[in-house]
Amino acid sequence: MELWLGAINLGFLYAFMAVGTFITYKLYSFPDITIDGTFTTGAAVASILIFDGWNSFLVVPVAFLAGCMAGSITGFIHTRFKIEGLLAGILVMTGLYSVDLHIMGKSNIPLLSKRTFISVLSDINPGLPPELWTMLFLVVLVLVFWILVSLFLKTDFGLTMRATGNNPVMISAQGVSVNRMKLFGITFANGLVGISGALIAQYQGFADIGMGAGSIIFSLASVIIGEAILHKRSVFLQILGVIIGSLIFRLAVALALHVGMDPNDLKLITAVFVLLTLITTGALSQEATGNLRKIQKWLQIRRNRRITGILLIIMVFGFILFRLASTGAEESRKVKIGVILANNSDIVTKTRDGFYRELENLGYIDGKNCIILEQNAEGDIPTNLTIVDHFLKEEVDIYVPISTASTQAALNKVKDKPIVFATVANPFVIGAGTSPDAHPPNITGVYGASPIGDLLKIFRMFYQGEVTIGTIYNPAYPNTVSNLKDMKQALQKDPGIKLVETTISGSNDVYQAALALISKGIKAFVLINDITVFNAFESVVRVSGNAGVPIFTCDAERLADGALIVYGFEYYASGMQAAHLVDRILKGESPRNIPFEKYALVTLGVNYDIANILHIKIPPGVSEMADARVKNHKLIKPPLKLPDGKKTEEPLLP
Amino acid sequence: MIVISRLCKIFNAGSADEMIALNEVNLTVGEHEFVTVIGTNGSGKSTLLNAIAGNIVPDAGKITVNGSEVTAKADFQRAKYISRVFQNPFSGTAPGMTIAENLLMAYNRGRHSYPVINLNAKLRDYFREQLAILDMNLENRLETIMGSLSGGQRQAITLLMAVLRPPMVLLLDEHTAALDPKSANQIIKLTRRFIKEYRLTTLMVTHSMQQALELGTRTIMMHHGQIIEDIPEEEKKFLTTEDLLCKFEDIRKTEKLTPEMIEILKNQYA
Repeated sequence: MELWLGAINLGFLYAFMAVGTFITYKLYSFPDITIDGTFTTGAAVASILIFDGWNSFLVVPVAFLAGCMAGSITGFIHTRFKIEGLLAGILVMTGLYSVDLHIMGKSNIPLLSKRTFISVLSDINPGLPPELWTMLFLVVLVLVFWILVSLFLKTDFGLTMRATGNNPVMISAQGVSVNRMKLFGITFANGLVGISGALIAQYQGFADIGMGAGSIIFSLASVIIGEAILHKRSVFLQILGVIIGSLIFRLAVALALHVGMDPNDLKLITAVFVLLTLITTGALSQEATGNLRKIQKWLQIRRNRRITGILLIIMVFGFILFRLASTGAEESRKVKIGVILANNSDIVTKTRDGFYRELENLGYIDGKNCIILEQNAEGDIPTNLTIVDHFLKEEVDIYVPISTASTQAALNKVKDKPIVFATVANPFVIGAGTSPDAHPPNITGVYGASPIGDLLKIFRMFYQGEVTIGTIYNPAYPNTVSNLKDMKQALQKDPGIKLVETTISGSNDVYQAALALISKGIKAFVLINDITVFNAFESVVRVSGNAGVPIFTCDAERLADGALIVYGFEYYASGMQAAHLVDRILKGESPRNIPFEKYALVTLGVNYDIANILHIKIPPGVSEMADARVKNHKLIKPPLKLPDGKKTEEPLLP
Repeated sequence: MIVISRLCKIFNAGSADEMIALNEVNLTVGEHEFVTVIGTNGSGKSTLLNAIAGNIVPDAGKITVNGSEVTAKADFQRAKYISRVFQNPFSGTAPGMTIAENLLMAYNRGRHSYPVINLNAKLRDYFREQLAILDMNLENRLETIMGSLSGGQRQAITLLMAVLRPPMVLLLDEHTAALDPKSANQIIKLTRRFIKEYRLTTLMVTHSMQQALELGTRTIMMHHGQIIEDIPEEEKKFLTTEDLLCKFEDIRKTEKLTPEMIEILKNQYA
């Protein structure tokens, strides 16, 4: 039930954004991409204020104003400088990324222990299931919103807004400044998007810099679905249609997850759906000629729009009812393990593989004595939340989120089932307790920051005296920033090493950043763990080979990829550790009494091929200590085995 | 009252397509005067209307309406004084909104619109009364979407909207040219009625010689960006469409037969 209630609640929360898009897109034919950024702005403003102790309801109008400000910039650029709407939106959206980051101060703000409207609601809950209680509140909220917006669009001012979009020549002849009305409309619409952002950040328990991506397409889909269902001229019904469209869209996302579809495919399907609808709706068909008209005729969606819409609803709800009816008749329960992956990076998949292998070693066979459910958010942050909802509905017995974003989602939603996280750099910054022993009663897991200090000690065995090193990082990721902090702390003990850093904002910047570091005369790249850099690791390797500057890194997986020295934790082993924790909990131990574990296995790897190419001599001490080697294009690595104690609180190197 | 002095407008100045649309035009239209404007294609009559309405900014010259200068004001700023009816019957109304909502826009012309709901039963009754004047059975279709009406019906409503709050100046830009003859007649009848009833200062551009002579208190003829004929009411009474055509013919002749051409002709017949 939680999955569908959660989806409905998200639908209500996104309705504000959808109505904003209705105003820009339907009233002004202005597809406003700004909202991808504004959504995050609303979330950022709300969470930073809540973090500072503001009232969770009071932050909503503030987020509205912040959204208005962002929107007014797009409107101003568009109307004053005659820059095309789409381009104006892209410009502001791009700029907002930096602004949002500045507002938040980091890329993720957890609201777990803060008073959000959700926690205020739960305090006055008369005993209903939390999602249902939240839904009741949202029904009232959205009802009020619906009536207010509809009435507003019926006032003289609202009519003028609609007329401006409908026929600018006419409204101009009636003495209305088209530019001013457009500016107002875009501003107001973005304000509504800001409200959505503020509410959703509170609902999901955190704000994240990436949470707005794709908003415009999802929003457009909601508007289009709404129009298909309630193709009416009345403003009240039009707005109602948009709200219903938002609900149906979120239910469709839940349904897709429910049937095990890849959420990544969902984006493609949404895009295709929006495209098809755009082709077949009026806006284009006025100019449609030849082939386009043939396509429209073939699709016939225009004429049968309402039927299509109704069919869609029947399908969605029919399926939900069917599933709800069929869940009653289930065979004897096996223990259900829900694995949530935040993305497809090496680190995450290695952890998962290790987890599965060790689980099997411990006697848990999928389908036989346990059921393993796995879903991947593919890097989309809100999807983590929907996955958790899905698992709640599936009555998963133990949650295994891998990586920080998934853990954050599970932490927020799962209150009465154990959570065992794996591969989280710092669980304390996302609100999972204050120390390995003092943590929420239902959560435990495996964590640790990368051993940058030790890597630098190894580096010192290669280079003595005054030496300059370079590193590249993306400041948008909190893990990366915390890794960099650790590195700087380690360097304080060794003033002989001078650090040159370069920041990037995407994988495409890595090559140039690496070249820039070479020009500053670095002796080696010492790379901290940063997913953006590792996604473009090839770029660094290329620069490294051309300039004869070796790579030292904390990610053990990079050895065969072209690093000279790797010294890092085995994420595979982290998964194995998590499997042991799951085993202990399933055998009756309470997670309350299990302290968080640090990663147990560390690997020192040496790539002799690279050493040959770069003419670097490997010091004997390093050779001796190496666990893994690359020689003649072959990776030699002993099989991983967890040490008995499984604790590595003490320093790994002398 | 409109006073236009030394109004100039050159399109594509300096290029091969340079076109002098208005060449030092001087025109004074008195209070309650109804001027019809005729002229060849590209004679500048539409440009003149657009300059008065504020759709184009003149290169030089001055326009005053009832004593206040409007030369540099945007079109929407002049809407307080000036109403327009366009040639395209679809330009003057919002197709996605109801008749009542369109009329409300006109009712608020030149005034700020506030977030209050003014469209009440009383105002609807008033709109119904006004629509009845059009004699098109539109008075009971206040909630009809404008886009579902015919061109003639929409133009009639546009005209009604233009005078719903009687303006100081009414500009009609070939507003019957795109209509079928029957609708055109109806619109002309209404135009005549409204102008008379509200004693509007009017400037009407037309292609029809007949309209130009039948309507209005004064006719001006434009050519090459200049007013070449200014026919007062007394003279109009005796003028026929043939006379007007003759005047055009005269221009054509003088234009075509430039000295060089006369030279060529002479050589041919010599």
